[in-house]
Amino acid sequence: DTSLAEVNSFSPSMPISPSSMINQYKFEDEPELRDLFITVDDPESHITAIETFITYRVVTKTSRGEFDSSEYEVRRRYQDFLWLKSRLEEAHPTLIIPPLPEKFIMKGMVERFSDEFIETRRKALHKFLNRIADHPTLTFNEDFKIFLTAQAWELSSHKKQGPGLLSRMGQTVRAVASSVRGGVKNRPEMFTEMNNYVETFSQKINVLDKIAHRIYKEEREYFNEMKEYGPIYTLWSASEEDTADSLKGVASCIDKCCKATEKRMAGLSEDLLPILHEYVLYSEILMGVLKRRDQIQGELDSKVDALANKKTEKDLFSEEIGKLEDKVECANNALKADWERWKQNMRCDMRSTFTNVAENNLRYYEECLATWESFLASQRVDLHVEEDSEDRP
Amino acid sequence: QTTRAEFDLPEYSVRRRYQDFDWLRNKLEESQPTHLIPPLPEKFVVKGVVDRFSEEFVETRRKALDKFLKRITDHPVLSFNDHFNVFLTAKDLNAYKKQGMALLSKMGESVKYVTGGYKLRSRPLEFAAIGEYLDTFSLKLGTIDRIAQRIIKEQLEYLVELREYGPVYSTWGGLEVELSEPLEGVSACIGNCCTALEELSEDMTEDFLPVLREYILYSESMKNVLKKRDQVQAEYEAKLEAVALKKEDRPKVPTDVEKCQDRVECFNADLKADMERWQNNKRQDFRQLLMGMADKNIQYYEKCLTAWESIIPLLQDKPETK
Repeated sequence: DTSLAEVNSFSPSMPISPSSMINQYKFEDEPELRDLFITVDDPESHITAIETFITYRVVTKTSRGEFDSSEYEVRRRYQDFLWLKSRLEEAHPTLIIPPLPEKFIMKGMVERFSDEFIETRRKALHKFLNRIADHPTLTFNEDFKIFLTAQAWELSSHKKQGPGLLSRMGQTVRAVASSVRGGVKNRPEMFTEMNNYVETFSQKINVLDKIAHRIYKEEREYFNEMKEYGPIYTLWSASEEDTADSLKGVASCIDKCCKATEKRMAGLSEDLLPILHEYVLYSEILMGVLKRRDQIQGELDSKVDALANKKTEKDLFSEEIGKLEDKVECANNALKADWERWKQNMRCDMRSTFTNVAENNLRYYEECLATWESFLASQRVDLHVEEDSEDRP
Repeated sequence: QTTRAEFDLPEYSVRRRYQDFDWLRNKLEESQPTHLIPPLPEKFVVKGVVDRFSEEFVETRRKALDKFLKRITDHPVLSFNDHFNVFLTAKDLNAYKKQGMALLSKMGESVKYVTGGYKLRSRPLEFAAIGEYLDTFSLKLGTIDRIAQRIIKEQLEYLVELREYGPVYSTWGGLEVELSEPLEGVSACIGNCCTALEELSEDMTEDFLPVLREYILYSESMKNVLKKRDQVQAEYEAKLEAVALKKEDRPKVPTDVEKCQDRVECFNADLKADMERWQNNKRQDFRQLLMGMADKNIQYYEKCLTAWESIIPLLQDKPETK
């Protein structure tokens, strides 16, 4: 059905080799041809003395000048993705970094290494990298390039070079401290609006995520009942004579509806649930981004306040303040631009998801409708045949 | 309403309570023990589980009682029963009931049928087949009833989720600008599917399940009639044997044994005729039931189909320009 759905690199369930992606790519927003194609596949488990973990193959195809080669194939584990995300967050505190799938799934009975869990994670990781590739700023990030191209040992040594854990902790401590110091006084109107939006959006999307999961569970239970229900009619028909055909017909209808329900469930779990969940994570990310922006502004504000009290050393401070003012302006602009981009992508994602859900449902209802209609028609034919044979003398 | 001569008037309108129906059924069983008496809806209702005075319960019961009387009316023998006549016409049924109690002292024909104590060696093949059929039949119906109830429960739980789900899209829509129309559309769509599912569940509860239950009850009472028939045959065979053992040279069979033989033959004939009638009715009833099931399902799927089709255009519309 590739003709109907808009194929983009974000759909991880489509044929996954980068070359096939190049052939299928359709122009979306950017007029220029995309020059970076990434796939995540082939999960493999690695067993060492200390631990067992899964690595995923990351294949990159590119025509960009800054890449030495046009094709790369590396193996990465979940930890590496976490590292990349935190590096991006550090480098661009007010850009909206795409969400990573969660570290652990506590709820439900998903084992860490079940096939289902690994596949869900793989798809999410694929999406993560592609969203970064699609971001006008993040796509040129140096750590991103290293992530895509470096061999395993190269990556480990590069990771060690970054700012130490302690300095990163220091940043976090300062961040927490500044947020404790009190809310941001001079927050521009636009970011307050953004904050309100994100709070409400987060609420709504969380509820939808929860209910969607419950709905999936209900459909599964309904499916289980139907699976038991149909065969009873067949068993019953064995002891009937005239009604036997009708009963078998009903059994067949129920069976077909059962299969249709299974497909519908699959559609739900492939189309709707991952998106809702991704945007639940996104809403947390957005709140984080807004906090970091507030922090950056907070730094400026507190320095300005400090200056107001010290009438002397103005010159010393003014340079620092100038830098902070620049920082705030950069942060604000970055966030503003990214916010618009995020909203547009969100709308696009939602439209396409709802369309998939609608089409999925339409297929389901059409199939069920057709099966019952043909049963009814067959009964009416039988009735006529019976009536005719009764009329004959 | 009637044109029959044995009714004084062409039209009657009386009020009856469940007890009265129960009384009528008992009277019919007593006076026509060789016939299959249609079932009544269940007498006892577990309090707290079902509201005895809820509209739904009353309506379900009413339909079942209506069916009960119609089945008797259609029966060539039962419809001429005196008790039935009185049930339909008497202004004061209680007075007649009390009268009936007094008449019990007159040992009527009916009492003689309550023989008991005789054991039948082997049921004739045709009745054994009926007995086996009824066993399988009521078993299957019972299973279908149970699973159908579980399915309805699933549907109701699903409805609870949908009823919470739909409105969230709407409130989210209030937050958005460009997405607001599609989100409202999705919310409305889910609402429509909700309504459609409600109707489907209602139909299953009100039209589908009662028929299953009726036939389960029917099977039970039919099995009892088969047992009574066995009793009558057993009595006859026992008495016949007793005569044979007497080793008397009486070529003539005593009259009471002859009467037993008559009773057996009458019972068998009545029962066979009733079984055929029952099979015909059953075939019609179940055909109607299954077609009704198909029909209701079709209506449900059509409504949901329409609901989802209507939002596709809302989602295709891309007002966003770069």
